[in-house]
Amino acid sequence: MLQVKDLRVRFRTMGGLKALVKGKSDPFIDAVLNVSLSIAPGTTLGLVGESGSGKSTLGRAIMGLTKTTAGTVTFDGQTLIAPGLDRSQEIRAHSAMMFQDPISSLSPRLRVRSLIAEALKIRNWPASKIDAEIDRLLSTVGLPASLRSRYPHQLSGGQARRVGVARALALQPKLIIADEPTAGLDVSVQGELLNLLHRVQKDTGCALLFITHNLSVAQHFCDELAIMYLGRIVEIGSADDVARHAQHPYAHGLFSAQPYPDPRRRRTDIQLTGEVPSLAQRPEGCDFHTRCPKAQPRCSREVPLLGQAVPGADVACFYPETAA
Amino acid sequence: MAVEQSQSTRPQLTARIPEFFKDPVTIFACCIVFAFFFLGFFGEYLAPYKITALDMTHRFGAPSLAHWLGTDNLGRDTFSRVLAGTRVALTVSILAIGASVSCGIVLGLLAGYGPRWLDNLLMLLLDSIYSFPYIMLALAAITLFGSSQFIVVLVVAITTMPTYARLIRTSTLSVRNHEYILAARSMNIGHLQIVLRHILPNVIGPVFILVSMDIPVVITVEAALSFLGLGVPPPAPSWGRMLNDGYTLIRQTPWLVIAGGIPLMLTTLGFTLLGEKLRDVLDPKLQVRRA
Amino acid sequence: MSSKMEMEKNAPVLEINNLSVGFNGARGQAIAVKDVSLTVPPGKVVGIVGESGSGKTTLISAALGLISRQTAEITGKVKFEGRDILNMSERELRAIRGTDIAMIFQDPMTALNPSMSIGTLMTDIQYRDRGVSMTEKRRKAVEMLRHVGIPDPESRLTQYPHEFSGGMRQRICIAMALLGQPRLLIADEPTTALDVTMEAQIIHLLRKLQRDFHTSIVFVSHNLGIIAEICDYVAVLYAGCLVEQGEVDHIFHNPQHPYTKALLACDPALLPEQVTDFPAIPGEVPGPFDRPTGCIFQARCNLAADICRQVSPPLRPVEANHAAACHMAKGI
Repeated sequence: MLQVKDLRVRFRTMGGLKALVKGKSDPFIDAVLNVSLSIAPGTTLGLVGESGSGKSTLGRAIMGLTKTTAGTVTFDGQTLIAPGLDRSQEIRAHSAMMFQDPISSLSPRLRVRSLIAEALKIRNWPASKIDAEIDRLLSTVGLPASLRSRYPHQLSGGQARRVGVARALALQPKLIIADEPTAGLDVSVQGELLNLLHRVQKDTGCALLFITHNLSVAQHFCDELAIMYLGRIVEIGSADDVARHAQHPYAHGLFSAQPYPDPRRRRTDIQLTGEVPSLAQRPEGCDFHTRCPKAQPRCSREVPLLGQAVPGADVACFYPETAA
Repeated sequence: MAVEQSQSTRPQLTARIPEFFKDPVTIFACCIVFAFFFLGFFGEYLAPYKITALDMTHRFGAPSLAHWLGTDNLGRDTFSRVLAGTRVALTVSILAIGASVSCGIVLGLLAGYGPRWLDNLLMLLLDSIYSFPYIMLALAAITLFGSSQFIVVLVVAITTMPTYARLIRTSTLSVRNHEYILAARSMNIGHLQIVLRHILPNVIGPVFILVSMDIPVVITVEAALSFLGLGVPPPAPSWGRMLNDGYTLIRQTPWLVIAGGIPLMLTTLGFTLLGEKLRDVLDPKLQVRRA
Repeated sequence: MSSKMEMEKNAPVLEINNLSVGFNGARGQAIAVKDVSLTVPPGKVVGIVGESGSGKTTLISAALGLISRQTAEITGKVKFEGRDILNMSERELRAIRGTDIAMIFQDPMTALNPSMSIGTLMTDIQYRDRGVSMTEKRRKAVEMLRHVGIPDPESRLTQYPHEFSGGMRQRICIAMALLGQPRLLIADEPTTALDVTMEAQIIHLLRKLQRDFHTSIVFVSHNLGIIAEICDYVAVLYAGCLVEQGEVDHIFHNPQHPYTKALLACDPALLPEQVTDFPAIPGEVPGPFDRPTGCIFQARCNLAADICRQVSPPLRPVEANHAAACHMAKGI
């Protein structure tokens, strides 16, 4: 369904003149760097990373909402984003995006009815059938039809997210990009939303890109996981493999840093110390070698590339943890 | 477009209308504003005398039963002129504010939503207008085109427009970064649709407040220009001109100044109070505090 | 003197008795906290778990005398080291806050004044030590920054809050809180705004500092994993009511209240490998205006019986150091 190859997103951090004055030769940062991934119809890829890892930027770049500097995006067999080519409209015409903050992603002065109708109209739904379709969509996501005339601020967090799903469904997408759809949601209601997304995917067979920082949700919800660090994917693979036998030291540290709700299994050590370096000061060599407990001299000179550092392994590390 | 705006603000407003009218100050302000509009439309017909009726025998007449507010230097009935002056004040303020609000909204949206260079260009333009004193502009315009009501409206519209444009631009800049704009873009919704449906309704609120605050300012500016002889040309009755006529003889005939000043003061007070109340009701920050 | 200290050693640092907080509004009284009793023993970490709307922030704010009596109706008793907090004057409260009781917050950016350098912030907070020289105050600041893991603290004193990352800022907040050598530290979701790896480091740091300084900590969080990591005792809050409390091991391994059980079941970290259906608690938390009579959790509880709809269950002991407010829980 979706194929991304060597995608790169560059941002300018300061104007050309200012950079010249400050004597900085490189006023750019790479928010996304040489990312390749693919999602098959009906499957879910989880994009996991800490803040600043570029996961949201990647999601937006795929939709053509952020300009890409290099690389290609192929959708449904057609290359629609490439250097000098921007046919991202065609991607957006068959995709839907869901956002982190449910209420702020719904236009505050429009009622639920208009919010969903807007999506239906853009897909050329016949005007006479819009009302019936809105009711059908609301019941699909488990909301009463009486909510049609509510404004976003009159909805609870869970309800607003369901409206978000209904609107995404109205777009009849082949691909859904969900950017932190469960962030800020209480665990007691989070499950309902995840189940709903599962059901939607089963019914429509769409591909799902699930962007999250919540490792345990990603592990259980997604078919595949990609771990991002400083704009690069450091490890990609089936969710169980990555979560249980992470090979990249960063992925490994990330999963071990997760608090486990059992006082008898408290962590006594921390594997990952320090913090994510700023994108403007990307380390030489491997991005992670400054924090890596296993760093070797080679790591500060060469950049380990996904699939090449260790042939056949989808991990960007010269010395991966051995798969058990 | 105007219909859509009022529709979009209605729900929040209707919810707070009872509370809005509970305050006696608001009722007072509303009465003044209503009276202003009413007299603006019908004042001329209610006036006991024709405003141009000269009566040289009764020049500088003191207030009496026949002339409630006395007569002026040409023997015209001051009360009738005050009533009729409302229309001038109303016309000038409505036309000027209307023109400046619509231009301001369009330019503000363009600057806020459009590309960076357009923003820079428009801001440069608006800032230059903003820094230009309106008296100078009025003098220049009148020297070139002669004095007329149209020139007054034009001068006022041009000088107040940057305030609206900047207000809209600032809110647009913050609104365009909201997730719902991104959501709309991700749905392939066109830029015009985004601006009209998703941005405008969310930035328009403060404009209403500013308008009600600006109307008295415009009326005062019109009066000031007329006072200086740059405004509405005679024989049209303007409150500012009446002040001008009266102030040289303030010791002998104080009623002229009072007759011109009181309505000016009342209107200003009414609109300002209403504006402040509107701000209380519409300002989202104050709503939070109340909740 | 020494006997007095001996006595204080085992007396609770903070004692909350039957605390209720209601806010008076146009629609009547909104009950935020109802009848909560909680004890914080010296040198222990007490966790308060609750989801949004559970009243955890209101509870600790009221307990610190931060809620004005003009806006809210507060009943019950709060004692800090035997002194009644709720009846203290603003002056007495100020003398306690920041020295005897310190707080750290969720958002370390807004908790630090952006226009002051770290050095100024850290020396200003020692304003109560009048006799102490500036150099001494700076030395103490540097020492504390080193303690919380800020590398090269001397040179960082001149930097401003925005020059630090979120994790570093939270470390600075912790350092500032500890400068007054507080006997009670209140941590309100201190890791919620941080990434997992930073969260792990801050938890690790708090645990270490708690051992070093022997400070009692009240740790508020919605994250069960974090609570399990750091707390000795846990209180579970639901819609302003304390539904279960006890030693951390009891709460996680022998939960008695249906809400605690459901909450634990919902935590994705505890899910088995293959899930097709994520567990959830159906329904919504009752709002502050429409609280039911009887048990607060009845509408979402699958054990709810008639008695639950009529009588509000009291907090009853179910085993040593463990109590639950449920009619269905087995008492002792």
